[in-house]
Amino acid sequence: MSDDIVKIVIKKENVSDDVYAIHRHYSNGDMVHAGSVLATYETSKSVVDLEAPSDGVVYYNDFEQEEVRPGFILAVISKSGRLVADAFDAGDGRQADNHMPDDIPFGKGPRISRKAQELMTAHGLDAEIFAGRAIVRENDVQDYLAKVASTHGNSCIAGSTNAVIVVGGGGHAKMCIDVIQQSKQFTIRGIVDPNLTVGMMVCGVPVLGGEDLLEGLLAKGDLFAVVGIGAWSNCVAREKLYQKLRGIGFLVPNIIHKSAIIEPSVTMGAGNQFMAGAIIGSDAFIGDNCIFNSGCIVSHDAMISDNVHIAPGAIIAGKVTVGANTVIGMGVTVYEKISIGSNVIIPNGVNIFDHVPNNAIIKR
Amino acid sequence: MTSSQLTKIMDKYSDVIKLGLQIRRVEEKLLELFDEGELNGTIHTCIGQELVGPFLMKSLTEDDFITSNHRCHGHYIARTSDLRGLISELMGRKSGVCGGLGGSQHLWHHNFMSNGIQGGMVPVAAGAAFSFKLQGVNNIAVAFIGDGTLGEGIIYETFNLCGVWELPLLIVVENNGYAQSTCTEQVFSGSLKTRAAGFGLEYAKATTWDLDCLSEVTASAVMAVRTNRKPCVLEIETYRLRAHSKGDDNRNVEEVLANTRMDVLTQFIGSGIPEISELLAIIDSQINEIVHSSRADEPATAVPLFEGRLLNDVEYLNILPESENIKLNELIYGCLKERFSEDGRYVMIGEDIEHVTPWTPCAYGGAFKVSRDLSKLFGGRVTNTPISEAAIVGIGAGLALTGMRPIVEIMFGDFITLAYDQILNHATKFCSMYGKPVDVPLIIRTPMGGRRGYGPTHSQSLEKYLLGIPDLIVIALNSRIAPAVIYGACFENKRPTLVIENKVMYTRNLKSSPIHGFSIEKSNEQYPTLRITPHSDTRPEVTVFCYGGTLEEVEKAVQLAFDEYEICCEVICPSAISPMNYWPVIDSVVKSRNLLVVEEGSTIAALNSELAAVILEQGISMHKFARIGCDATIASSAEIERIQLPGARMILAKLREMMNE
Repeated sequence: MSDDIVKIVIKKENVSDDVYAIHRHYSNGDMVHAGSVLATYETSKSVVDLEAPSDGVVYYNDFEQEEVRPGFILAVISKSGRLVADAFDAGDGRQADNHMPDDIPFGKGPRISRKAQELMTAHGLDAEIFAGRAIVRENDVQDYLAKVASTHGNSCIAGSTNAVIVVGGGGHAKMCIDVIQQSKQFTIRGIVDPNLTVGMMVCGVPVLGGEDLLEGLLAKGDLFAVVGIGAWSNCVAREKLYQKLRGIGFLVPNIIHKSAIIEPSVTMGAGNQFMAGAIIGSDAFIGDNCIFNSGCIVSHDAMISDNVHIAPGAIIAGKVTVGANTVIGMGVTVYEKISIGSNVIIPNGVNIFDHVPNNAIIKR
Repeated sequence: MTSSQLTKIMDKYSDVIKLGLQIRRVEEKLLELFDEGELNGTIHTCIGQELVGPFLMKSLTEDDFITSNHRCHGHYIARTSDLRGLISELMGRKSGVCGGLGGSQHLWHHNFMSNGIQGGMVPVAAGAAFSFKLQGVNNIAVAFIGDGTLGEGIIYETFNLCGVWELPLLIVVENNGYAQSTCTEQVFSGSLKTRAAGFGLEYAKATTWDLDCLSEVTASAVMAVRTNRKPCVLEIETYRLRAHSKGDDNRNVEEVLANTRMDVLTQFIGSGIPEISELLAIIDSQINEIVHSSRADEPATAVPLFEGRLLNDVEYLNILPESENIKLNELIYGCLKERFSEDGRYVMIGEDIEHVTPWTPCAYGGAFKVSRDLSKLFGGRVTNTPISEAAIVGIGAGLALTGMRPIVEIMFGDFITLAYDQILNHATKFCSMYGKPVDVPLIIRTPMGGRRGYGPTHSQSLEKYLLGIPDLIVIALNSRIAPAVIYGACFENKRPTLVIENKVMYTRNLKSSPIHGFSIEKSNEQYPTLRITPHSDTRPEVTVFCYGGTLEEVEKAVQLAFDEYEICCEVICPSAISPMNYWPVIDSVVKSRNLLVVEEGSTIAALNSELAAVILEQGISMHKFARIGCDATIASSAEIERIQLPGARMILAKLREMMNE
């Protein structure tokens, strides 16, 4: 930098302050004289005047900043009146924490998570639809999409319908079809199953073809798909299919038989299936893609992870924890507060009184 | 001495001798009861030293303030004549002067208190003397210590302070030549006279073998302190004829015998003078009667435990944006100023707190600019002290015990350890250990916390070492609840209160900005709990507990946790951290089932451990529990400090780990 330019730097005035409130007394390009007070800044201890060291033209750095840190080049005095490009280089002071914002601004409307915002953008949704809500998560957007789809059919959301595709056409698919048809939440577009002949009917629903059709169906506007394969020792296949559907972009709704009883305080993810007569108790927590088969009972405060299959008639007591990908057989009873690990298989009719570690296969 | 010499002494000092004999017989009886297993614990008798108290008390008034030490029975009897209260106390009876709680070393009566920590009561007495000076009354304070206490630093802090402040304090050193089993000669350098002179204190000396001298010197020393309003050290040479406590006498037997023969009261007792024999018989019968009736008294009963609380009548109200671009140090200044102008009993002492002084014409007003111009506005009530954290806290306690409302500023929280004994063994103990409520409305203010680059010994958060101390209230200011609310509650306290002011907050404004998507609420507790909670349509998934300066970092982290990872947190930030109402945390954890505790201090045996224990005790099943603190020596380097102290980034990472995000 030439001798023509003199920098005016904020100095650290005392140990207590990180930032000083600043008041500038001239405008850019004003002529000042040695001793002119260019700015005043307040510390917790005193008020400091910054004087021009020589005659010249003053140029301030970043007029917007009302608070500055020590080390900040507040202004330069140019004796010739010319301002060079690098005049304010290396004058930004130090940041409190380079990795975190100092203050997070207060937005309007609900607070929307990044994932929710991405989904909303993908479906052309505006934040106004969540007016009155405080916060919006991805699940909320999915719920909204499902609700709108079931209420208004194809018309409301751009490219969306209330049609659902059942992936798989075996015995489990039949149960899903009955649940969906009775709940009247969705219409069923058809079945996708590579092992069945195109055009054949399962419970009155046509087989459309193999899984290669899925992307095309989504593109046409079918937003929803259901995992129609069962899970006796086959949780991994169900999980893969679930992830595949999500990956393609389908929404996988929870489907609930009209005779299932789910307490209002239950928290659940997506893709869960509640068959006839299933009972889920208060404050239970359920992950994604689980099956609660006919007549099973899951008591209060249970924590059920992802891809779990609770087979017909199993009874899970209060505060039981069940890890991911676990299968609990028909008629099994699980004692209160028991913790069952992930990838566990419990055969039919067993009574569980002790904790079960991950990957265990219980023998009768 | 011959009988006629003794009779002459009796004629001249009859009251003192009678009191001395009473003390002698009481203590001999106590030793007897000890041998018979009727006393719990030990006793320290003053046999051989009895006459010091009676001679001094002749010149003292009811309103003079006296502190005594572990060897306090004689002083107590000389002051109060309350044989019944003393004997019952040592026998562990409810009828004892302190309900059986204090025992031998911890006695209390109007303007008389004893404690068993060597030297610790001297600044307390100095505080009373300061109080008398501020109140403009003629009373004086007297602190009894022994030669064994001359190795304790706190007495020299106090010598200096009472010298420079010209306090009416008489320090009576009963020099019996031994500190428990150690001869003073072995551990004492120089002379007490020159030590006193070094602090500019008056010095006087007497012995218990020359009663005329003792009488004259004690009277003149009291008179000098009362009249000149200046401190004085009075050394009284004496000899303890019995063991330090029980069965621990390692002194030369010949030496003890020689001193016993010299002892005036021993000579009276062995004189066979009928008048004396008759007097002793009366005293003995009175003592026996007291012992007899004390035996029939109800044993001491349990005192209430220090409360850990679960008060569920907590209601939350939204905090309304208050405003104002006022920095926290100005707000604290504001509420102190208001209080000082309303109530003349308020006094503030601390290092570097005065505005301008005759020696320093430029303004200062506290290292963190809290006291500002208070010294100018309230002359004499806001005073600079030497660097003597222990003594100034002790003086604060003395002021609080004698009608003033002291505030002691400890410049950095790291220095609170220097005053730890005064907090733990003195100010807080006074509240309950005398078996009756004693008010100690002392406020200690101190900044804790890092992020200022002050390095290992000026950046710590040491409050965990002060949690759970019976009768100590520990408060932490935060960036959202106005200091006026917190200090308003502290001003009403009758117990010692420690207020932690995180030092990064001083130069920041009180926050009133809302947090998008969250409600900011304040409880209706005396010291409000702050709750930041997702609006009612969302159930929180993690409870984040914090207090004081960590709140700002937690606020940033919970916002990012939602925005980026959809983790919904509820923040619980209490103002009172000891004793603490655990209910707001329990209430939140019941909903979220996950708890993260963020502290700036070290994590072992801290509030996080306490909360985990309470939640377990309550039988609440938690899914995840995690804690963050600083378990390292805090560096000066900004980069290292940022890594060490729990900042928003670290909190966010822990939340993600907890929620598997």
